[in-house]
Amino acid sequence: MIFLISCDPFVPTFPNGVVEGMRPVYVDSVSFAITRQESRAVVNPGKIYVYGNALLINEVDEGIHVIDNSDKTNPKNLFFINIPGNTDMAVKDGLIYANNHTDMVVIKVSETDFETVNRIENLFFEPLQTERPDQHDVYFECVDQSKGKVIGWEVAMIKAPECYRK
Amino acid sequence: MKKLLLLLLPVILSCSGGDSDGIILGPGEGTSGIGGSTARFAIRNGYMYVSTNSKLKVLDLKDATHPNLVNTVTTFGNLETAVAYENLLFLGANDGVYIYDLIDPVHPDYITKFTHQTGCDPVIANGNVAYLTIRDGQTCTFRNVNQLITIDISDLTNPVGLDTISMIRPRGLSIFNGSLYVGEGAFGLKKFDITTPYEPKLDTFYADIPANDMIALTSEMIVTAGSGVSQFNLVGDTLNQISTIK
Repeated sequence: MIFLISCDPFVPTFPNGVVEGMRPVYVDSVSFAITRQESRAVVNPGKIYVYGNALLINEVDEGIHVIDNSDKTNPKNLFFINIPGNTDMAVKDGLIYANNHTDMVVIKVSETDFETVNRIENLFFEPLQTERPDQHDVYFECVDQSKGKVIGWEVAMIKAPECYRK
Repeated sequence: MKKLLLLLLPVILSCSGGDSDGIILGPGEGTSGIGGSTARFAIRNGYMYVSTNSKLKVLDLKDATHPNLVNTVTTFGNLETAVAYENLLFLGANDGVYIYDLIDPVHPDYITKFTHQTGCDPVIANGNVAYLTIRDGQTCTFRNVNQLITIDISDLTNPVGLDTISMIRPRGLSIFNGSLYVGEGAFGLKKFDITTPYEPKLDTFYADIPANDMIALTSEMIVTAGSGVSQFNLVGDTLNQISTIK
């Protein structure tokens, strides 16, 4: 039986069968990678942000369309910054601050290209959330770091859980 | 008077121009931009305020490429948004809005909380008045409430609800060319006359312009919808579509 710090000293009965509980959502390091793509269609627009003559459009969970909006009757779709898990952004002094799943990334961007200049890990996540769910009185699937980085928890039917949060 | 609800989000800058001339995304302009209405970050005076689950994080942007986490404040509730407005920070949570003052930018100081039963949508502040929309929906509330609410915020410690208008499924708001625009999602876009700020009056319902959120520039308004992003100017008093980004 595996006990993580997150497992409370209180030891519940651990069922052998399938019970409802929480399961970590993992993302591997490849899925955090920020890459450039050619301009692509806006399919599921989320938040938008105006900076100078640029218009940034979030493609929900996928990244940011960079649009040259100097002629508002004819905006030009320049390129796409592929940022997995991205839903939010802000810009200051030519730097885009964006969420990349649970990390914040800082991206220096120009009309033609961009460069990721910094990453702040887990800014949008509490350290303990990488170890156990927020909910109380739940069974959960113990975290296995080899599966990747935990970016969230989902309700799931889990088999023979070995962790519980009081 | 009934305790009032308030959910302040970022379209607040909607009256200021965002369409300055110059090189796009050129560094060193010392300015930040204009966000839509549901952001989790707010940048103000060189600091960034980030709402995570139950924490408010303050980052110093003196070295802009290396934001430096200078404070983490434990808050209440499940935070969804962070909006800076003048010296105030509004944190929208699922049970209300928490207001902090930013006189000391590193140490936001809790002032008050406005409780509401429902919480999903944005508010804009316009001087002493704030406009708030609340809507139902699975991630927002199970209640059947869809409203545009006008709030007197001249005394922040005692916001007073002044006016309530029934809506279909209201979302983002923006003030463009002196009028209040409220997105009704797939149902359209409503323009309200706010000549009397405390009493918005429906002026035009553009049922053919789906609208989730808007950013108002000096002469144009950018509108997002499920299908794409469009831009409008005014011909006379009427919105006129000038482009679509698909």
